[in-house]
Amino acid sequence: MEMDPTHSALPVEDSVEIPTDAAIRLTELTKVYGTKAAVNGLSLTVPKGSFFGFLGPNGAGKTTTIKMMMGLAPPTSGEIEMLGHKLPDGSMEVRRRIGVVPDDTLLFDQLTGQEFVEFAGRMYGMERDAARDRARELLKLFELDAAPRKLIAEYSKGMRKRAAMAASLIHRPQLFLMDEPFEGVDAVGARLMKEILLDLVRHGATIFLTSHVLEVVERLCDRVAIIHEGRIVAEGLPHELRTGSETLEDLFVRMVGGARPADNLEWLL
Amino acid sequence: MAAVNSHAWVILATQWRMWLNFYRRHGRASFVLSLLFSAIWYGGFAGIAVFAANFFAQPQAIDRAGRALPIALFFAFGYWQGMPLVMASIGGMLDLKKLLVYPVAEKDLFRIELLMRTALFCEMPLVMAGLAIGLLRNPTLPAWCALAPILFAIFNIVLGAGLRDLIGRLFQKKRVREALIFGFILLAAVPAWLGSRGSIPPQLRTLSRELPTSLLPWAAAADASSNQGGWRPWVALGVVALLAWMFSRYQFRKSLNFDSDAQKAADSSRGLGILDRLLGWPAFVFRDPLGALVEKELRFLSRTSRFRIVFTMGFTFGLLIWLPMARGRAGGAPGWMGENFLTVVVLYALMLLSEVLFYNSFGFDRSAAQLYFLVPVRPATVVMAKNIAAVFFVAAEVSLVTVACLVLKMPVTWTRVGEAACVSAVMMLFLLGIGNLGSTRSPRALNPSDGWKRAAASKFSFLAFLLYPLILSPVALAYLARYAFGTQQAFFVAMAGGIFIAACFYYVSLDSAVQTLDRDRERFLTLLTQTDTPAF
Repeated sequence: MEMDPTHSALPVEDSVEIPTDAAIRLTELTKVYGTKAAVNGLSLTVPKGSFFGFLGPNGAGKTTTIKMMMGLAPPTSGEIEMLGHKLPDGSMEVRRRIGVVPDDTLLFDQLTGQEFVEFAGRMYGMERDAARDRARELLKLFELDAAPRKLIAEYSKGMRKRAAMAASLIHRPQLFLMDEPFEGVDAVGARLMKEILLDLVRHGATIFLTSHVLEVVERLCDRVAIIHEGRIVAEGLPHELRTGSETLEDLFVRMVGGARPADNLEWLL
Repeated sequence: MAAVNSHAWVILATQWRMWLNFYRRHGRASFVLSLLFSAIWYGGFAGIAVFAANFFAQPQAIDRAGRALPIALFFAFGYWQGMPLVMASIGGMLDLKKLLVYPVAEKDLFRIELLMRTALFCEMPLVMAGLAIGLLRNPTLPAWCALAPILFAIFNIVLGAGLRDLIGRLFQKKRVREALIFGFILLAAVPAWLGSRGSIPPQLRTLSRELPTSLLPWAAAADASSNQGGWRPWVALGVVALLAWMFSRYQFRKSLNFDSDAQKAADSSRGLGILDRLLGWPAFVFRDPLGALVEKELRFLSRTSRFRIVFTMGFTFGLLIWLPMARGRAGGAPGWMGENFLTVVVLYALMLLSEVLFYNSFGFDRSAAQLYFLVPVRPATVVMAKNIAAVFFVAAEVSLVTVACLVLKMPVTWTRVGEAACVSAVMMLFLLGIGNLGSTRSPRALNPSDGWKRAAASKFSFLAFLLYPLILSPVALAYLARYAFGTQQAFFVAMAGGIFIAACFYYVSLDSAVQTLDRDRERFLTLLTQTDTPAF
């Protein structure tokens, strides 16, 4: 699982077209909290086998969108279709075939890493012994096997993310939904996780990840969408969205507004 | 169904594993102690079950039990519904919402919840099983009477699940959560109030006479168990069980779809209230950084759920709990308690506040604790700011208790107010001194939104409790002086001495606390960064 350091993203052909059988299709998705629309009429298609980066500044609606896709928050309106099944009717079939790396509130703090990953495997219907063996292998892969008695409550943020990712892999899903998977993960851990994710996509899996680490998205994702104030402001292949020598960061700042409010603070500058 | 069973076993085993891990984490001694306590606790209920199985197997059991059976079933109902609510309110249950990402259908999750409730709160199912076995063995009763406790158990399990879901959702609403906890606390005062009256109020008697009691679940279960009342108790029991099932199913679905983020958004969309604006007064009285620190303390504490609950308890629950003793029997003289009611309630309110206001003053804002060492502020200023905020809230509490006493027409004169002020000053100075020492030497990380857990380290709380007689000795001496010399002046002179001693103690403790902060800051910060309690 060697990663080419010069690799900037999965090989993407210039004339990539969205396959008809999309892994994810969101139509006019809206989520209103109180009087504020966190997600506002969002429509998006994620092709099967793609590594999709969902970008946005803090509070843009990334986590709300992914929570609706995970079935953790009901949408106010709109449609979600994943792997050919509409939610919520087909949610059971979808849940069987997806792996999720949610924010860390869904971890069970009072379990060890081994216990948690094994638990996840058994919830996906695996035999106990098989789940235990795979959990052991995954913990080794994610370098979480050094302290087997350590509870998740005692894990660092990066370790928690790695444990969540290990649990999401145990049943070999076809689609991954990942909410800020690299948040708090150190460079070595992040490198390891990136290699695993790239391998998964090479083997046909689809990955949908939210992140505000643009460097990671630029290196990994073959398609991106930028969400701002609940709406998609850009979507497509990274090289198509960029103009000239523009980086993804430049594009991002251009799309979500890059005014320098500090210019008004004469005492500061 | 096989999938449900498989998931249920995995979830039950996981819940069990989490409890084991939780107790193991607190050390071998604590683990053994917990096991011992559990053995005694569940052994006790197993004993009751064996007793019920033997007692109700006797032919004359129903006659001998008489009215005790519905009363016992009523208490079983209360325990059944109450205990899981307490556990849910302190966060001691597996959150089934976490399982929504796994392929488990909603209806299966509901069955799993019922199974979990039966397995985790097995005290009452154990007792009901004993009762059912006893009824089955009773030669004077038909075998189907044994179904009554089983039906009663199903009703309780299902109703308990629904109530837990409902309360769990209500607990997510900031103000409602506090009101509910406060309501539970006030309920605790009811038995003391009724007991001190010596008789049940006539209104309650009338209510109990006019209620169709035989249709109440516990009464119906008792009648059905003893083969009395024909088909009526069975119909009543069946109907309440069915209603409980529908209620629970509805509540479970609502809870699974409940969006806590939406609730938080609704809570946070409220603007600043008048109280928030009034709490800006320190800026006009103290120079910064002291003014800013005091203002921050006032704002922080006033927004802390746990503080608000104990503060409100001081002038409500505190009054209720002592009021019957102060008023005495109808027509009787008020006595010592009645005459010194204000002082007693103020002292009690201070004791309630001590856990959150004095003993662990850095525990709530542990994330801010590091900042105190990063900004150019002397540790003494930080501790002083916390103490000034405490004095403000104590003064507010004493004022509110006084107003509440006036409303209840209890004896409140200027002399009594002076007495209460002196007593609270002595006690507050001692508590501030002890609290400064404890807050710097044994700080403990806390979740400010948690309403019930202990604020200070257990050992420290215990030590502080042992010191209460010493703290109160100047107060006792002042009352002794008033008794010996027969004048109020003697009381105030003695109290002045007490205030002087308490102030000296406070001064020494402040110095010591500041030195501790300077010397042991790494240990202090490490203790505060440790998480407070597990999140299941």
